[in-house]
Amino acid sequence: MTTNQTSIAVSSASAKAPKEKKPLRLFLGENVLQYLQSSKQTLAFIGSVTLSTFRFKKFRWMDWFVQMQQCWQSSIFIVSLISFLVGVILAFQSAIQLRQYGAGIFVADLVGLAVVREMGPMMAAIVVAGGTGAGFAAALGNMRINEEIDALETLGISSIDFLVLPRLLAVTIMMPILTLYANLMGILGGLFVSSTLLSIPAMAYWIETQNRVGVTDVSIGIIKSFFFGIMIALTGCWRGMQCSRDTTGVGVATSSAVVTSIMLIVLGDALFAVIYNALGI
Amino acid sequence: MNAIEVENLTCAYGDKTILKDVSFSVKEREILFIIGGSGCGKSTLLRCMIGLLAPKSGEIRYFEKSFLNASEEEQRHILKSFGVLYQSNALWSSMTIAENIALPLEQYTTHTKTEIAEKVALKLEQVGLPGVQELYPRELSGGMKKRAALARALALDPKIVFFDEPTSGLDPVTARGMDDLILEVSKTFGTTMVIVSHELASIFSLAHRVILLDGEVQGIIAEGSPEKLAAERNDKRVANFFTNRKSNINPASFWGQCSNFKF
Repeated sequence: MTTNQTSIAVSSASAKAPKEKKPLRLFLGENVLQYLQSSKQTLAFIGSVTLSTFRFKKFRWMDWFVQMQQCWQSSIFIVSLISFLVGVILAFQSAIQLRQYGAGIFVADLVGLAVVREMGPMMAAIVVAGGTGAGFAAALGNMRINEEIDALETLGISSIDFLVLPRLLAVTIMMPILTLYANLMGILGGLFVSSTLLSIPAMAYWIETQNRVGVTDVSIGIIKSFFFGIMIALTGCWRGMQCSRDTTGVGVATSSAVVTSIMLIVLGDALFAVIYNALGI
Repeated sequence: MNAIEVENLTCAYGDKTILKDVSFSVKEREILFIIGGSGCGKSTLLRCMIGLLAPKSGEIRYFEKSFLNASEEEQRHILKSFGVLYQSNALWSSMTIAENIALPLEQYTTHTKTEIAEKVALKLEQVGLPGVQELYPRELSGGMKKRAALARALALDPKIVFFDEPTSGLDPVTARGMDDLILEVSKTFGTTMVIVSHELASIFSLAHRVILLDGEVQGIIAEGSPEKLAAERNDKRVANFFTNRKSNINPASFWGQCSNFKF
């Protein structure tokens, strides 16, 4: 048998050999170690970003401004539409029940509180996660693949200072603004349904909303949105920085940024609900 | 004086060792080529040398100063002394060419905006690319991008420049133009150059010395001038690389492997 024939025989034999099954304990152990490693890297990233906020000397103000502008542009239309429709849906659903008791005017209370405390911040956050957060992951992922992040590092420039910090501050500032806007659109949605279909005068609806929805309720939503902004920006940037250098890297980074952000938003919202409940507000 | 000294460097990705106990040095003003087949660890070695990958063990010294054991501040100082030209050029796509070249100057010098603009224009002229300051990388051809990336690598007047496949993706004429530019920069500024490449034409026209890596050995299998390595007949791996690279594909073995596939 010649050398080539031998190598062919060996390769075909190895191709037919059944794959060795991993024992369960090995499989579990590997996964736990991988999870721990990934958690360690995530914590290191959050730590680096925290430290970066103290190095404000060479902050890139223009990048920050451009990121805020892009966040506003990419979100404003969808936030308007979704928030308005959420207000419409809430008004419709609550009106069915409340009209039976002749309490149609309380649609304003329900819509106002639900939008300002829960739906406004959450809808705005989900839209920003899907647009801006995914955009961050895609942009930084592409930069990773094109070695642009490596080029920064070899110049001794921190990619966190240069790329992450302006994005983080942009979204953290834009989220409360977008939430206020989403609140307004949601209330307008409720007002539209009430005045056109429930025959409640617009001024009465507005006065009822003003009487029921206080500064505390608005603040509750705004505080939440501030934290949602931090979560969205950090998740988008982290997934982008983690992007693998293969063809599927950017796609995986983008979709995982959106999924992780939405999951964190919902978890965060639940946590805030518990905290506010404990505080009695 | 040696510009670079690499001592017993072992590089790995996780548990997989790519290079084991690699040692070599590069003299000042020397042009060293790192060559070898695909997957032999050329780029890994380069990534270790420029600080993008932490080696498992070993030492790297630049101008007799330790790079791996240096403090963060000292490392930043060493990083300033070298420039890198990446295979994909790595020009920041959201910035103009002028902004790309100006960034290292803004970070490390106290020059005024006018001085920086003058220096940017000078660097672009040196690489034969005047007047493209306001263009974005996407508006340049492949060869122009390479030149712009070289201008950025030279922005801080580095003592050492690393090149990762500087002629990849370029047509033969543009590639030779790039070789001429590298040679000109080396002669004019006395820059030490470390180049990772497969191109024999570039190796023979530029290299003072060549080190050949091998994936199986996980290290250097030959070192010397390109002429010396090209004349090597005893070591088949070296001879194959320089004289008979096509013979790496054995037709009988290739078709034999193909027959194992099931469609």
